[in-house]
Amino acid sequence: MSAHKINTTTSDGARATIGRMCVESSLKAFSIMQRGTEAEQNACDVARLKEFEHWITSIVLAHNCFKLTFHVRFSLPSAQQFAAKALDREVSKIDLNLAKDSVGEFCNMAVGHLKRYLGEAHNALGDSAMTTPISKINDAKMAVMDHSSDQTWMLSANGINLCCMIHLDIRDPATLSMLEGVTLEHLSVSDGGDVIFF
Amino acid sequence: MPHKVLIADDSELLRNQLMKDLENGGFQVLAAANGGEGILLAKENPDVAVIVADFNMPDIDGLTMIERIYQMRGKKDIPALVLSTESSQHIVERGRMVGIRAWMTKPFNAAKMVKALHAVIAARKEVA
Repeated sequence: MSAHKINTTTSDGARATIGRMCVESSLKAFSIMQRGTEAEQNACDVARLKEFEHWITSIVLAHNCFKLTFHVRFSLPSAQQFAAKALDREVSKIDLNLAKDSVGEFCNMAVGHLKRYLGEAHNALGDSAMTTPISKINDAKMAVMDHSSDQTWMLSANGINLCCMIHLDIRDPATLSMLEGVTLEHLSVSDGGDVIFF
Repeated sequence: MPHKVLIADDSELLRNQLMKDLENGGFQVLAAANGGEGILLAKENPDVAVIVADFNMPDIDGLTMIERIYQMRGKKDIPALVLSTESSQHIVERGRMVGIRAWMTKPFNAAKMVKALHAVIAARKEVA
């Protein structure tokens, strides 16, 4: 489990909102990838909720720039199990690359949901100046970090830990102030796959 | 005869999920692990009815892949859909300029994906 460090100057309200968004985004990504029945997914979500809360490692607000660092860690065996369920394969058939791929994709999906939450938050406030709220959020960057060498994967004494890091870098003042006032109860997020037709 | 869909995504996991979902949705699936492979498969399969491409791929991005496929003889009208967590206005606009028919944000929903593909194929038939 990663160290639980919250380094922030932002208000408790904004921090709590973002924290919940991260948790909910991860849970949605987890559920989608595990593809169980709704009941199975819910059971899984509840079991995971506490763990996810510990994965939010850093929330910083300084000089009108909001930075969120959100680590998600899987041990290699748990990543293999995760991938096996997602791919409907035997755990023994999941090699390291596939395990990495599954954790990376999980992170990618969580970012997708997180962006939606932040977009929805604007809509909830009805800020007419923010007609395209998602475009105000700088690209969420997903990186798979290797803490020991700044490259891909972290090796530890206990084996291999797969760690994804999500950075959100928000500089827009309206977005920042919005985060103070919105709770998840204001928000609704679609189940994915919103389509723009040309 | 099922429609043939070419999918390109560097994530094996996503490719597998897409393949299952699209096969269940009645499509025949060709899967590429990157943009270069996608171009080759498009070249080798004249009967591709629709393309689904991830935007971020390690060799070339999905839009560049589609652009190159559109440069091949007889491929310009194949409807294409990009699947991505990216939804920045300028990137989506680039997609429109390239000529793709739809942009879908990840995480995707299988039913919506199948519906969208049928819609863009039907729209192409109407134009033809």
